[in-house]
Amino acid sequence: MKAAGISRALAIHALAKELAPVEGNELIVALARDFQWIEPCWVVMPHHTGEMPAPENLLPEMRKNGVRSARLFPSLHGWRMNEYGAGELLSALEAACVPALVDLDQTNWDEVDQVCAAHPALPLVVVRVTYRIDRTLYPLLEKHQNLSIEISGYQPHRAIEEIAGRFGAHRLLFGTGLPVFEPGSAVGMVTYAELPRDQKQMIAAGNLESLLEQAKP
Amino acid sequence: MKPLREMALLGRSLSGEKVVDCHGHLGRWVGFHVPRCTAADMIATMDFLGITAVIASAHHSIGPDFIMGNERAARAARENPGRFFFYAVVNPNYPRVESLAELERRSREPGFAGVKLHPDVHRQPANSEGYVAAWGFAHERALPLLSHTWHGSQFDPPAMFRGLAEKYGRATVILGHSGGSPEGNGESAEVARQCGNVLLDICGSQHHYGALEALVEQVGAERVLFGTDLPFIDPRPQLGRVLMSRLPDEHKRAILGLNALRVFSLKL
Repeated sequence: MKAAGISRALAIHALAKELAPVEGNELIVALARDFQWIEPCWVVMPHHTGEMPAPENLLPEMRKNGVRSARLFPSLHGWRMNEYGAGELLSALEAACVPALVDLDQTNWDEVDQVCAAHPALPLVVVRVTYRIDRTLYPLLEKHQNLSIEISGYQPHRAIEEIAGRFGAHRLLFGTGLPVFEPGSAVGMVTYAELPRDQKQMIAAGNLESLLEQAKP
Repeated sequence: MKPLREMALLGRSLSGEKVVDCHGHLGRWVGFHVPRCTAADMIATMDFLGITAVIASAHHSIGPDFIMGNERAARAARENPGRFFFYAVVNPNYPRVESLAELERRSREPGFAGVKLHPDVHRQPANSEGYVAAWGFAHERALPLLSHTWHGSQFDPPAMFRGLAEKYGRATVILGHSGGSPEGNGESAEVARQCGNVLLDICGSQHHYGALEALVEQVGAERVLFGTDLPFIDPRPQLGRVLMSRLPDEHKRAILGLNALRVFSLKL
């Protein structure tokens, strides 16, 4: 990160994704205490089985632990990102303006559309998208002001400039996919973007910082 | 001269360097939006980033009409001398005589740089009968031949190219995407270690951490070529990946352009 000019990172613990959210969430909070560059993010899921606190308890837990964002893995964790599956959870995150991040391979664009429509104040960030999505992405960005994307996998020609020009630079968030993917790829997308410096700064940090500052879990 | 990593952090143009994109395209594509995909658009992006030249094949060729695509690519090369070079694509589903006639014709045009195969899209194995004319042509004329390769594909897994590289030993065989995945990278490196006329192209959208350094460790920086898929994919991620890798600048410069100058006999 240091070599790539990155000073802070929104991070989940691998255990929270790959085994059990509550176990990994505890670990990322502990790591964030030791490493100031970590902005801890919790992996959350619906509470119905008792594996995750109910929303009225989850949000205070997040606040207590300095957590201001949530990551969702509905496909991997076997739940549905719709109203019967996650409506209460999403409503709670929405009420607290807590940004929810979901990988594209964990959901689909119809679900994204439905979640954005049902929870218009929920900042929803789709991460690890691909370069083949514009024909679906553009109408959704136009329809839902609460939708944004993380850029590391978003690599169409002049993609950053196109989105900034059509929808505004505030719809793009810098991310790398570290430690699985190279940080230099995403850094190059921002540093070499043909955009004014203030818009590059928004994408590199400002947009995410704004979302986190607005979150009141 | 600033370290290349610093150039990337500052977003500085590489206009003082030799940067050659050995894996470009041209035009629209069927399955998704390709913003700004004309030769002029590509040159504008290259100007901004400081990319010296691109060697490209047209999407029309990889898609429905290889002759129309080759014509478009040849025209772009004619109109942008020294910046835009082209591969002639053959479609193995057409008769051998048509492939050969097309290669003969294109090879006489300015900016012709070699032969391109895309077995996955054309749905014919790289070692199938339909490609014999292309392999023979590249071998007889000692040309670079770039092929799409993908780990696990039935049409172009990297390992399929070992026999081809041996049989057509005068051709310089470039494994496009180096097989794609980390597994494909390993498979490609193995082929390159066995065949001295095989080089690896790093073009792709998934840049796994440390994969570039691993390729260089396995085959040497002089066997690795910079490719981006422009305008199918933006060149910035690939540029950032190379510039900010943990390789010495000498290796970065070889990968970014010096190797391509040698392989394609370019004087830029």
